[in-house]
Amino acid sequence: VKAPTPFNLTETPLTRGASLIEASAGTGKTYTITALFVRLIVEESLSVREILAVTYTEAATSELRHRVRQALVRAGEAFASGESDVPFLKALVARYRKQSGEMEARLQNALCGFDEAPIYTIHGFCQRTLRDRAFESGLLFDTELVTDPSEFLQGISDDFWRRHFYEAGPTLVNFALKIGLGPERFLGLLRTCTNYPRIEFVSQAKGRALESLSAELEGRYLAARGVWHSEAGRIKACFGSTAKWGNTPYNNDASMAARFDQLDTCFSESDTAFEALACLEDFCATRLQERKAQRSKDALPAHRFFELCDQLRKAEQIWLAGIQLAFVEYARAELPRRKAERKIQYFDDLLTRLDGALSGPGGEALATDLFGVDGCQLAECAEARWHEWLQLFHDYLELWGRYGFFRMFRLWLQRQQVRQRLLAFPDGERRLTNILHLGEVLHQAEAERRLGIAGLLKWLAQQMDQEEEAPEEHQLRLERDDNAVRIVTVHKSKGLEYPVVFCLFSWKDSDIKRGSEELVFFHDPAQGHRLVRDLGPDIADEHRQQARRERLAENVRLLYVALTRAGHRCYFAWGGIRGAGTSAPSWLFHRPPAAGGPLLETLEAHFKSLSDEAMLGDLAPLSERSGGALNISNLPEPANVPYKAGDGAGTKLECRQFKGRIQRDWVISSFTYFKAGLPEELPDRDGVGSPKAEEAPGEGIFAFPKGTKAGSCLHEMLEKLDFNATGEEMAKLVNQRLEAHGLAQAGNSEGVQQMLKALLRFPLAPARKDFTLSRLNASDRLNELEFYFPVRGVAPARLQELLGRLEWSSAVPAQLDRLAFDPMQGFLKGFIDLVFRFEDRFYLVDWKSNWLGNRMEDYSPDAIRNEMRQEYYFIQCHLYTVALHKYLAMRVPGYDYERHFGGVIYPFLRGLDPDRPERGAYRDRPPRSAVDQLSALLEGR
Amino acid sequence: MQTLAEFFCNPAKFLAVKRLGLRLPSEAAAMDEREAFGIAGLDRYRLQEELLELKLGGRSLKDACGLVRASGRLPAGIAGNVHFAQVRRDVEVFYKRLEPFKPGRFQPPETFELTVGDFVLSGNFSRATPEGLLFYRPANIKPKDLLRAWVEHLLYNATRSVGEPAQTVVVGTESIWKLAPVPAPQPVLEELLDRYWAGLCQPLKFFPESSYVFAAADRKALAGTKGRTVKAPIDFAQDKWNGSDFGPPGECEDEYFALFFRTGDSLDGDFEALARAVFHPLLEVSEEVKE
Repeated sequence: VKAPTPFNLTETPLTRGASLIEASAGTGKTYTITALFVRLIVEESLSVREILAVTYTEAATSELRHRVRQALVRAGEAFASGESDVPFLKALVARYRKQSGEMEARLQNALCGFDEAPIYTIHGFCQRTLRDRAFESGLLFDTELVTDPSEFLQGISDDFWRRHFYEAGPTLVNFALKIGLGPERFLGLLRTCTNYPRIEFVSQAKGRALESLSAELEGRYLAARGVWHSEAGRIKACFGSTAKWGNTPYNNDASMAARFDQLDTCFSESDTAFEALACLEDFCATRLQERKAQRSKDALPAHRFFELCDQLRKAEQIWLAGIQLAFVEYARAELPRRKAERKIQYFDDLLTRLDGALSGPGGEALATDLFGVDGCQLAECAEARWHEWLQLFHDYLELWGRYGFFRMFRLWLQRQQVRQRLLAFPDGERRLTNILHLGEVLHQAEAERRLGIAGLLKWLAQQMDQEEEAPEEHQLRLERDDNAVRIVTVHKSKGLEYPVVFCLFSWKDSDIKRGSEELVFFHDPAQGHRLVRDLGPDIADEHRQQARRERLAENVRLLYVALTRAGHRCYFAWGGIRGAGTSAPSWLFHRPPAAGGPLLETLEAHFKSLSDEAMLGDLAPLSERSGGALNISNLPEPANVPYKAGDGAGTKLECRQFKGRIQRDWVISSFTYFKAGLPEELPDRDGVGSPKAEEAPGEGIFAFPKGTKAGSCLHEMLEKLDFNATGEEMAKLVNQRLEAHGLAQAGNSEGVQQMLKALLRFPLAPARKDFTLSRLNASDRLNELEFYFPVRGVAPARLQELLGRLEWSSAVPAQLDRLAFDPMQGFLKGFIDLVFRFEDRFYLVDWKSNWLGNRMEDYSPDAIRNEMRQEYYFIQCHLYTVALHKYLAMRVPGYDYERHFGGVIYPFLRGLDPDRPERGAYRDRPPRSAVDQLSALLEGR
Repeated sequence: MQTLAEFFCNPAKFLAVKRLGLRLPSEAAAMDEREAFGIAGLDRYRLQEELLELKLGGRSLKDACGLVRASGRLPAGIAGNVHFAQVRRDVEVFYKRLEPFKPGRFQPPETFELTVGDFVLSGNFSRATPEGLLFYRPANIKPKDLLRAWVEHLLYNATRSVGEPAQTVVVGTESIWKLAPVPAPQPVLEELLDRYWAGLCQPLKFFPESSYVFAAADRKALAGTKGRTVKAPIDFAQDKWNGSDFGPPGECEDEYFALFFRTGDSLDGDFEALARAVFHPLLEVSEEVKE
């Protein structure tokens, strides 16, 4: 280590190796860092990715990031223009004037890649390092990163309690409870151990076995108990109104009676109540001495019971120190063992480890047990974990489906530790705010629109697409109230700047009060300034003095931080405040002239002796020397008028005007939309058919019930029917389906089977007897083919006009005129009953179970043609043809309508006779031009 | 009777829950994953109450340890016995305080119905001893306890014939309250019922703790026994209402009070009038005997 030299921003060479720059608050540390950043870019030609900047707190990091970026911009401008007002940049530009073009390019590059600049909080840096090394380390899969170790630490302190007190004797437990020992108390001690890993504990109990300390405590207790039981009368006689030697409570009969009562409870064989043990203190010889009446000449009562109480108290205190030492020993052994066992690490561990990694030659520490999983183990791990992940997502899906989005969202946040993870990023607050905000917006949309999973996803997609301005509640939310008054601790304010600072409570004393002995921390000069805590019970005076001095020093440092936070102005309140004698301002402003004796006592005594005038006198020179920067004034009197919120009178309330536009023509429609003008998304099923006068009752399939229910049943059978099925298989299917639809009445099964047999043998083209369904393979058919395609600007008039030009039109002008659906856009949706391939051509089939009469003659070509018109099936026929045409164009290589599209077949199931193929079915093959024109119309072209 | 008492314990909550059907959700505390390491707070109080009832029923508390242990409320190991011994002692001490009032001799419950103005009040007195009503609680007596006792005390008085003993005693750990018989309870009840009726239509500015300290200080001020303090009665109420950072939380943090009175000055003239109307008649006849 070289002797320190003053640092010069422009001149000090950027030497390799470690350099330490020491600087006080307000001297421009951040400025220096940004300047060094610029120099490294310019002089060393480093990329931003190669420069690591680490600081405290998220807030300070974002500030640093901002400042560095600004510095790069300024430097770039300086090189571009060749001049700058900033001395540092002026010098830099002058030095590299010849290469200014190149330097400018370097800075420009740095700005382009600035998002990659590793400017982090310490935790963010650790997190980043782990992420970057995820595959080498396997840490992501194997070792859990725990930000809050409370639960884990709690486990250790709980276990210690269990081991030591579950089976301890009642005396020890009573004393433990009296002192307030418990897992919580041990947890506090454990935190000290983890916060200061190298802390040393000193105590008189050191070197003594806990067993002997416990035995001593129990022994002293029994001794005192024995004496109380045998000599209570004589002990009691020492107190009361007749005893002149003592102050209260010793000279008061009632108070003492209550205490004797408590002593009885203390020393009861079976009914000891631990809260009563506190009264023992009043019978200690030392305590009697303290409470002796000053003016009384009577001697203190002498009884060995009082001495025994003293000894008992000592034994209790040293036992307390002993059990704490035992706990520290236990915890120090348990901590690493349990961490290894449970495979967890804390951020704090990362710091310790990374310290080793950074100082070591090649980051060997990164390959120790912290990261120690090789690629093979990682692969195994990933495989085993894969299913767990799948299961997890399945759970989330179920939760969302059942209870809604937000419940899933919250569980997800919690279980995946999203908060912790996001907050560890440099821009963690921003990310987390966004995520939470998004969650709220989605939840609101879900609730308002009653959306399911698919609906909500669609809604989100729509929101992301939409170009109009988002409503205010969807706009980016600010993660911090930068413009609000912020109330922060001095610790939290480190590294930050505020325009105006009000600095209060800096008059906290540096004392360690009786009862706060756990705060005796100090750095022992004898041990190389190692951190030490004195567990007592008799705390060495020099330890206490040292601890108090260090406290004062820490308070001074804190005050220094607080006073240097302000950008424009700092208000600092000070005066003769009670108890402020050992505070930092007291030491700074009113140091006693000669420091003899213990520092704090002298300080306190001096402070107490000061009048207000004297204090002002101490401060005046400060103000003078500051050249007007410091102003001393009296505290303004408070106005004493409590704040009252306005009652809002005078503001006129108004209804908000709806300014949005509701898109009413956007629908998902199907064929029935055109027919009835109502949106309909279910597969269409045939209606009852045109009413006709009831004829002679039909037989077979004619007797089969009419209506949508029967239609659905038949459709379902046809969907499931194997066209090559044996008679038995067919019968089984038919009976099953009829049963399921509640249509299993006598005769139905036979009628349906007959019909199906006829259907399978029915020539689909009148001229070809061998073109039947029974010749189709299962691989050549598609059942219930669903289609879904976008349509735009479809209005009745245009559809009428187009259909009118097609060959159908002449026969049905009246029908077409009645089309009265609302103009629509959106999607057209439907289900094609059957698509099949025969001799490389594709056919579209729609089953019709319409009842046209009870005789085969009722299903003549004319009757069927008429039915097609009446029910607007001709529209369906064309729409479905377009749909299939579009589908085939996408799926069949080299698709050509003329060559591949076979036609449309509407078998009327009740009128099928294989021997009369011209009857019972409607067949069509719309001309290519009709299909193209209809496509164009639907697409809004 | 119960309803009326419940109303005065928290008029805001009564209005919200009973009238508006609005119940603020209370977060159910998560189950603790650790065994009990001590027994404190509400758990300890419940155990005290339970043991007190056993004691009053003539059972020996020594035998009860096994029973309580089996319920899993006590810490494991010897610490359980130690804690039990402590609670048992608390109960024994409290029992000694209670004994002079003959707590074991409650009379059979007595059903009553009473017409006061437009109201018909009904209920049953289950805490009557030959001397009058007896309430007890192994804890400090709070204004809510007093209000419950007060409502029952008034009704008990209203349904007694002349000469029947009708005083009420409320025993707590730190004090004993004695309510003397009220010669004319009807007008007092009418006043309470008027307030009750108003409270069904709007949130009343009646907050037991704050109203009590106000009324008590106000009475002292009226009697001229202010003592050394120059603090105005309303300041006592403000302290109770707002609480402090270092002491118990203020009454304003009660979720139902906060629901209706989160802004503005809640302790105004209405508050004062109401506190006087409810508590002055009570304080008039009562006497607190402190330990």
